[in-house]
Amino acid sequence: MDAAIVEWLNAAVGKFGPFDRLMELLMSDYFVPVLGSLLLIALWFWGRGVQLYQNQLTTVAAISGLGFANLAVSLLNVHVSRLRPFAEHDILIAFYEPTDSSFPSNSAATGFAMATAIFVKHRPLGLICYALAFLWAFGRVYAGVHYPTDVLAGAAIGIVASILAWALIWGLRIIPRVILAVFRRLVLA
Amino acid sequence: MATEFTFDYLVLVAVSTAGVVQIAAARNGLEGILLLRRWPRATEVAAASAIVGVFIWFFFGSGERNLPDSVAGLDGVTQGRLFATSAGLTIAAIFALTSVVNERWARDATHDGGKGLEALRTTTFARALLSGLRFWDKSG
Repeated sequence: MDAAIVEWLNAAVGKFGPFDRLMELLMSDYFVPVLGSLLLIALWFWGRGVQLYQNQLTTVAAISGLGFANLAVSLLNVHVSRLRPFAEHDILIAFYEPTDSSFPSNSAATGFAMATAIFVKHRPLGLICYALAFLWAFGRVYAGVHYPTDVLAGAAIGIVASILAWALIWGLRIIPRVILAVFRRLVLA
Repeated sequence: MATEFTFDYLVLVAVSTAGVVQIAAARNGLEGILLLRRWPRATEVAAASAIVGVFIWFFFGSGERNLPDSVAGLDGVTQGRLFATSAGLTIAAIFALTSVVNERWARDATHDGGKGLEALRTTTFARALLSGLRFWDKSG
């Protein structure tokens, strides 16, 4: 089933140039991560009073969520090794050939961690980020470098990581408050 | 090759960070960190154009970008580290530069410390920082 989906999607590679170019951009290692990080910088400076404070907490949650997600993926990579689709099936690869484990997808974990952290406080913006994360993950399956289950697992890791980050921020309310107070004194928050 | 790619990435992050900070400052009235304080609308347009321009240059105008980290690309950790460095230095440069260019505007304003970024609506980063540290000293 997993392989069948990859083969079905991958059959479209090379058929329509402009779509391939768009996918190359969306699945790039740099496009969505840089865009998402810029969004977090904007949130850090956006708003007044309580809104500004909430936006800065969102940035802290997103960075923490990204850290947890990457840690989880790194730990899983030590124990789980899965070959990439292009290494096991006769498909046309539309990306470079990554050498690390296919499972779980680090890109999906990163994209969904960032989107979830933002979605908790900003629903419309969060939905846009989910769409970008989905397209990033979809692009990787389309290109033949991930199975659907790799990106599903990565997305689940990212979502749980950011929920955990927000839970820690809410649970340990005093710590982020003290850190942001120090930053405020230094005119950095 | 790797150095050139890294340099391009640092330029992408620096220019787009500067653009994002200027748009956020213009939209939220943080005049103290606006490079063109008298023209917030023009700042927004120029910043947005710079962001779009640098993205087009990086992804379409300066060579292949989908490269493995074993050849010339950047692995996730390096990418994160370079982003933080480039963005941090860019923000520091904006804070320093606007503290100089907006000094005359901020000269007459009086401030209590501890307002954080919100102080930048009426003063520069350097003045707000000094007020904050003085206030800290008094309250400590």
